Amino acid sequence: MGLRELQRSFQDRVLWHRRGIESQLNDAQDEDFGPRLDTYVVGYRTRLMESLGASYPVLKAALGDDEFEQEARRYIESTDSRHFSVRNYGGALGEQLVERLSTPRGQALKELAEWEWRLAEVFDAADDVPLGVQELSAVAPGLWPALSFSLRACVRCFDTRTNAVQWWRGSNGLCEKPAELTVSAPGRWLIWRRGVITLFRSLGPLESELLEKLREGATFGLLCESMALQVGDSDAPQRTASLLRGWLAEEIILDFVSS
Amino acid sequence: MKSLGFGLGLRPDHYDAILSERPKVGFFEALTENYLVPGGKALYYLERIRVHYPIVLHGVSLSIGSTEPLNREYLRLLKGLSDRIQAPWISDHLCWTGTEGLNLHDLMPMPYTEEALSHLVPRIEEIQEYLGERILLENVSSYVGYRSSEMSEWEFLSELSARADCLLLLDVNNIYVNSVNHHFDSEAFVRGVPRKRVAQIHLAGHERQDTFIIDTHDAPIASAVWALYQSAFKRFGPVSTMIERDANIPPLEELLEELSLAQTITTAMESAA
Repeated sequence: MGLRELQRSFQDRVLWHRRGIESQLNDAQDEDFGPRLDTYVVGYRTRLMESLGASYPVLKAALGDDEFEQEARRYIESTDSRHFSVRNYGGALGEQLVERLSTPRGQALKELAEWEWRLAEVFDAADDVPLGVQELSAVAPGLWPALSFSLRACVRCFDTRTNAVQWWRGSNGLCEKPAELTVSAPGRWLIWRRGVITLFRSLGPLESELLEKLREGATFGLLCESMALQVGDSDAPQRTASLLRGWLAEEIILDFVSS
Repeated sequence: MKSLGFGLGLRPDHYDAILSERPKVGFFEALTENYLVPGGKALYYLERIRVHYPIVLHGVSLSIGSTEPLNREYLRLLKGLSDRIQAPWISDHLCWTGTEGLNLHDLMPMPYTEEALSHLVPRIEEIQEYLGERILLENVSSYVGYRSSEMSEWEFLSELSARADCLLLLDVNNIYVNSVNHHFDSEAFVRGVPRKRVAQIHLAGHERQDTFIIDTHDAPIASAVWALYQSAFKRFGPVSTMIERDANIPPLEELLEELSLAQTITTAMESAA
């Protein structure tokens, strides 16, 4: 058996328990051959299980060790790892949960998983430099309507239809933990990083709409027009500028261009 | 390659202690894949620690022995990271980690054959040319051996390093583990590896099963491994030496104490010589 076939055969044994590699290995008749080979077969699953547990600590606590292990095992047997870093494994675990548990709890567990995955994305996002207020202050007032902005790489929005984020916050001692994971009123959360600290807060409908427009490239003038539809023409520029100042202070804006 | 003295694996549990206590170690060894990220906490600490210590890179995903094409994206990120922290050297394992686009996240053993050598040599040469430096390849622990092997592990390492002009990271614990698992003389291994190729030594703990040993990196270094380290020091001299601990990670002071034992051993041997 050539090297390519040898590796395929060994991998088949580790991933799918297919026999074949045994005939290519020494001492296959020995009593301890099974445990030796299992070091690879079991070790693969153990490593992925540990990685999933590290990626989803609150989900694991919510499910309990046994149920989490069952779900993780299902995931591992159905989803191969394709990335060089084991930390990248497991992003679709939430999808599996909601497919299996078509209940309000299942929906909340999916959101909890996706929330934890999103936090990890923000944790590792690029170290770009936020735009400072003073840089924007130097822009002549007449140019402001044509300014558009970009968000930092770490900025994420997260939509919820359950109390998963409250559950996560409660699990980390940040608020009272809900009695159960279940559906709730829709909400949206902003997640970002300041330095190495991951931050998040809820977004109201108006701020959420304007932030989305900003992300899509809307100019300050267009943002003001959207604001005017909600608060009237006279207050719109000031209210929009106030929102922008807040985003700058929170360090979520990366840059601006004049279009 | 110049010795950096005695070092430790860089682990997140110790980031703050390293920066506040500045322990007297010659270098740290960072697990490459933990830092192949766009930004965030891991790189923040890596940058700060490298101000005070040389940091060498030690990877697990080069998959040099795989029959898959080399992962160009991985190599690009690796080179970028190495340039960023001015890593004195880059090491990985003499193994394969997956094929057909999949990753087993394990250090799968190679057969010791001419075919494997012919496969490995041009891949190592290509990587060394891309990185602009010689890489170090580490001998891995294994629990099964291939019937097709045509030479001993140390003969394979010797031949490989000569043909590809690469360096070796000798894991003394892995030599001991394999000597028990595959029934060979660990001293013969040490004697069989060419002196000038060994640029770094690893020490680590293991877990003994009934009839074989698993390389776990979760325990203090066993006395048999310390004994073999003395033989290795006698043969290879003062090459950079470090302790790897990946699980059950103790406080930094405990690892420093264990590391001081390596220093004590080598100092005593140098004095006696």
